[in-house]
Amino acid sequence: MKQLLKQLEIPALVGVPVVLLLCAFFRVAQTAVLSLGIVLVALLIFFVNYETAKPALRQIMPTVVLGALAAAGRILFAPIPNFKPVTALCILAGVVFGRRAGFMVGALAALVSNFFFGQGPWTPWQMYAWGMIGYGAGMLAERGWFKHPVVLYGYGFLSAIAYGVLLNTWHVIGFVKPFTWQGALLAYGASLPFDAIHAVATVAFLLVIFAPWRKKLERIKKKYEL
Amino acid sequence: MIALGEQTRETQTSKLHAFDSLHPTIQLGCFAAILILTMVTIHPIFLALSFVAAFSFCGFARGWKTALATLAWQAPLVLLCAAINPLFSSAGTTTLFHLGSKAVMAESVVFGGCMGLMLAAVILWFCAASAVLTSDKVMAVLGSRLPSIGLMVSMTMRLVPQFVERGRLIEGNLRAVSAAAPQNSQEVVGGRIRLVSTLMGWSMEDSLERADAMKARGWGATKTRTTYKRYQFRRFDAVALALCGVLGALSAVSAWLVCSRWQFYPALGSLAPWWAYLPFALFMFLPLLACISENVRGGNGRNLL
Repeated sequence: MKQLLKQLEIPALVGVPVVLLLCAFFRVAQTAVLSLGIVLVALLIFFVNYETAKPALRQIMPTVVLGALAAAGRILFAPIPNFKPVTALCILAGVVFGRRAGFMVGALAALVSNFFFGQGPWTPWQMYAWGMIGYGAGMLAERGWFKHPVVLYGYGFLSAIAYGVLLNTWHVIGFVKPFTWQGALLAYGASLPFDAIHAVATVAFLLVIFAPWRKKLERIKKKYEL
Repeated sequence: MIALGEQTRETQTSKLHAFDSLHPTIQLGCFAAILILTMVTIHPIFLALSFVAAFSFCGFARGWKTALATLAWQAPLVLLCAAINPLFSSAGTTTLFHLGSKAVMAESVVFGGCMGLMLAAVILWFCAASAVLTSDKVMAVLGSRLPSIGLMVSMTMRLVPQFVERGRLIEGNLRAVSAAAPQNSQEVVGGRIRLVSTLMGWSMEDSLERADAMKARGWGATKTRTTYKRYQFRRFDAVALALCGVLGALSAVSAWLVCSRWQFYPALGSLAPWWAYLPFALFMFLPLLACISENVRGGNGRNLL
């Protein structure tokens, strides 16, 4: 069972957008509830796997601190719409502490900051989207892709855009019915300026904090033998 | 007989006592059932019922201003589903009017309106649920099943306000060194970054020391860690669960029967008799009715049954 869940982790995480698109393709009437169900299942599989790995206290603490910093940053920067440091911090966590920590930072930041902003049907989607950004950053860092800073900033920019596209796609496929291209384009177009701000903010935060914080975190890792 | 724990259970707002005093698992289950029913029944009457119930409970529990503000915040998305999208869709048989060369169909308008109602109702139900399901209750239900995740969420919840406090402390300390006060805007920004970096380093080392302290006090020494159960499942909860279960099942069956006879295309189906919607309506208004009836009687939740 544990082995099976471990094998299922990546397919479940990748499967969420695939199911969303299949629902749209086959024009499933119950997309709203089905897509919410599939994202909750993917999150649950990840959490159960995280739990069964029995992480030590010292392992989870950096994740908690970065998640809380991301949530606090989102609240702090709330006056500027969509100018948030969460995406940049997920990427940093994924690079320094690995993909699972990256996912947890994203999921924690989304869940906890929404206790302040207001929970909604978007909460699991935000948890998933930010989680995947951290997870992806961890995977790419493992393969040494982020040695060149341009790749890092490119990843930050594109992942912020992808975050917006995913949340819009869920809204369009789940609720803009009967589906029309005009309606879909209108939804994407309306959020484009906000997604652009998010992308610029992510690159700006990465420029400012990524290198110094990475050095700081690596030092702490060495000091506490993490 | 009244269980002893009954008197000790706190309630946040006396207004919501009837619902608030239930075991959190029932509250969570009740809202989950309401949400699923709302998202599954794509039918104008059911969605209108759910929307009105969500709006009234949200207004009752969190204030009408909050309910309206929640709706206004999401208005562009709701309007796109309900009003703008149907203009582009040409499905249906009854032409309402022509927009340029395109015919606007009544069936598309009704379908779009239903989806808009569903989105608004779902958002309002979340808003209403968060008045009752506070973070500590969610943790009490889910945290014990996933102890590491539960610990992480509750620690993050605690750290956010702590970071705000510590940020102020660092800021105060930096400001006290007036000789190093920022001279221009670039230095102001630099100072902010320095503040956040200090906060990160401080909190990170602090948290690792806390981890060692927790371990020294026996965290993880046994296989399973028992937790203090603040909420106990009492007889009253069992009765409430049975009531919710029966009403929820009845409304699911009636909704399924009505929806399977309903269609949007090619032409709108005919509506079922009024009593077919009764169980669903009762279920949707159950949280609100429970709270109102208790306020009228002026007693506690048990008066209901």
